[in-house]
Amino acid sequence: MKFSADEIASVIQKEIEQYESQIDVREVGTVLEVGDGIARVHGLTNVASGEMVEFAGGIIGLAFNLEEYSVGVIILGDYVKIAEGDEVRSLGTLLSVPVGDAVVGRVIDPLGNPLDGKGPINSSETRPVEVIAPGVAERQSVHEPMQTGLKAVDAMTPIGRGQRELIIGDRKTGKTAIAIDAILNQKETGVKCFYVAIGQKDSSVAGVVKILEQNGALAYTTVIVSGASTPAPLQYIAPYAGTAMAEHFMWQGQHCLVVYDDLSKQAVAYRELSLLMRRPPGREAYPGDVFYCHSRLLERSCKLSKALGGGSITSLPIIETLEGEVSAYIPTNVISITDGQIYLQPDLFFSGVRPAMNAGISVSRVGGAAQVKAMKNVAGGLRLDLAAFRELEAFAQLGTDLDAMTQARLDRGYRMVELLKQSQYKPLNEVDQILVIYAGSAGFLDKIPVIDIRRWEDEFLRFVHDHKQNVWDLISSNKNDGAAMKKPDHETTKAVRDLLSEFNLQFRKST
Amino acid sequence: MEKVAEHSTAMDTSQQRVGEIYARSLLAIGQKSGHVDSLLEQVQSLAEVVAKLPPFRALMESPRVSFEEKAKLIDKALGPQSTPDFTNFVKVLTRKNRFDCLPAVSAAAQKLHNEIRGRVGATLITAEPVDADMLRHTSTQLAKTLGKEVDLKSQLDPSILGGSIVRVGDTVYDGSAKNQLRRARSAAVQRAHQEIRDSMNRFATEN
Repeated sequence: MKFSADEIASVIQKEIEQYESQIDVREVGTVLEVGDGIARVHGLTNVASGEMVEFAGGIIGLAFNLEEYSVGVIILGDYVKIAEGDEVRSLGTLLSVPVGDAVVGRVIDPLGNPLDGKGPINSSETRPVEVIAPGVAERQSVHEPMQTGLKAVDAMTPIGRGQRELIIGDRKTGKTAIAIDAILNQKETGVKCFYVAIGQKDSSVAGVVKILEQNGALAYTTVIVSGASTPAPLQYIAPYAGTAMAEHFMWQGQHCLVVYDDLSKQAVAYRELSLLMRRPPGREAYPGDVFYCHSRLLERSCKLSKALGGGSITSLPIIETLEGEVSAYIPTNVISITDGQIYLQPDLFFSGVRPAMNAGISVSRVGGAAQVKAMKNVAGGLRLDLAAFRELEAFAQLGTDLDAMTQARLDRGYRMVELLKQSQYKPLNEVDQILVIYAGSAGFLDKIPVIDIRRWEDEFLRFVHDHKQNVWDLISSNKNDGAAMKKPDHETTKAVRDLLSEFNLQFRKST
Repeated sequence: MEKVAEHSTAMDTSQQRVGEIYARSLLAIGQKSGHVDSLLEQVQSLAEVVAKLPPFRALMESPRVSFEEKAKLIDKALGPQSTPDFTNFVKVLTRKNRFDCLPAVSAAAQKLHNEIRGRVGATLITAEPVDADMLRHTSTQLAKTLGKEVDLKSQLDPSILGGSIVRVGDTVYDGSAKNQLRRARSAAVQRAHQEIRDSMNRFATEN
């Protein structure tokens, strides 16, 4: 394919013919000093906070600090090319990013520039990066489920559309894995996903993109990357940019899932900016408004009212703790902002419990209302039972003789823990989840050895799909019936019990 | 190496802050004695002279030279052509170790004085030298637009190619040929870009 020069020349000629000379009125300032992603500018008398400014060479900045004699600007681009004495002009607009279908399936930077080599982002629509979150009258309470496909999460800390559920844990405890599984599970649900990678190694992000691509999830996902090598200003605005892209779909009545991976790095970038701007440091040297930095971001995840189309943004912010320290500044802030947290523990992770979720302190404050009814009936007491089991297990290690009832509870607990383990990138359908969790909590696994549980699960699910699709369909159609899987005489409950008994008869235990 | 722009304003913001305070008191002295214009002229010319004589400036700013010696030097340097008010002002400035703020004081005093009189300072930048007629004409036109009297200074910058740029405070009215060409270029590029995006087939030919 070749470009024809004549045709391009004719377009340019037309443009020149129509060109009208206008006097360009602009407000300017002069760069006093520049470095580390920020600049101090003299002039720009009428610039507003958060307004976009343009440096020589087209580099964009944001007015961040308005001081008596200078303006602090954060530079969103290559600050090495800016010199002292350069002219800076205010643009009179707020920072905006391209939105719409053009960004879906792409890997982009926080300003909307493509990073995946798939050509320019052809979008005619943009949205401001920083907007005020919808108010009280524009919202409704969370009531639809956002299935993550993970048994442990969907059963114990269910997430609703419009909820903010924090994923928190030490490094290497599978935080990103949970978020990726949640994205993979949105296939065929029409939920648009946004993965915002902040301050991560580019190799990790490349890995995530590859996984998404291999599992066909990139088709409905946008990856917004500001890696470890990008200047702090871009890392700081990345989550806001990702949210702006999601909001476009939310206001159209669609549903979105945004993963911020991770907000502790964003807080560090914001601290860097604030300290360079000489804002006073507070606890752990973070600026005083680091709480607002996160709260105004996460407030934008919400469920819109019916009148506004009922769209939603569900967010899964990720926070990395150091040595399990949840009482550090940023973790406590984000815990208090979000509607619950999934707490991942290294000791569970290394003992093979994956996802390594600690059932005792993981909660979902609003998701219960959104949980599928049948799942709620099946898994209602699961979280507390499991937390009690952990206590009992610790007690049992003292070596005392246990009565039969305690032993039975322990055995049930071991099996439930085994049952909630799940391989990576294998999200499970909600009906499948209901079936296996019911099997565990109703005692159908009490006779199965612990080491056989996962094999039992695989074979059972295969058996259901191959031979008993009718029962599966029955649960699927009755899953929102409040009595299903609760009353023993309900048709669904009966069918499932028969199914489990039938399968257990043919299941061969390993010797 | 690229040329770095020269600043006409005081660029050290802490000096600027101090300069404003001294400028305000200088103007107050002038208003009391009725010699504002002469004081402004003196501070401006001293600032210009000092800028051209770095050794003098270094001497005046040096902490190793005692104030008495500096005071003697001021008397000798300013001599009879300076008013006693102004000589005293420079001595105060020196005693407080603020001689380095002199350019800032000069700039701030000019700006404050303009503000008080309801005038604004403006710069007309052109590629070719302009005559007095042209300057006056521009000045009246500007005064009409801004609703204020204008102190128009002219400045030469061949790099703008043609047309003119007027700078009032931080606002720039850019009618230069350089800017027109740049805008025309980016508009043409953008248009071509957009049309290629809209219909690839029109521009592309097989092989």
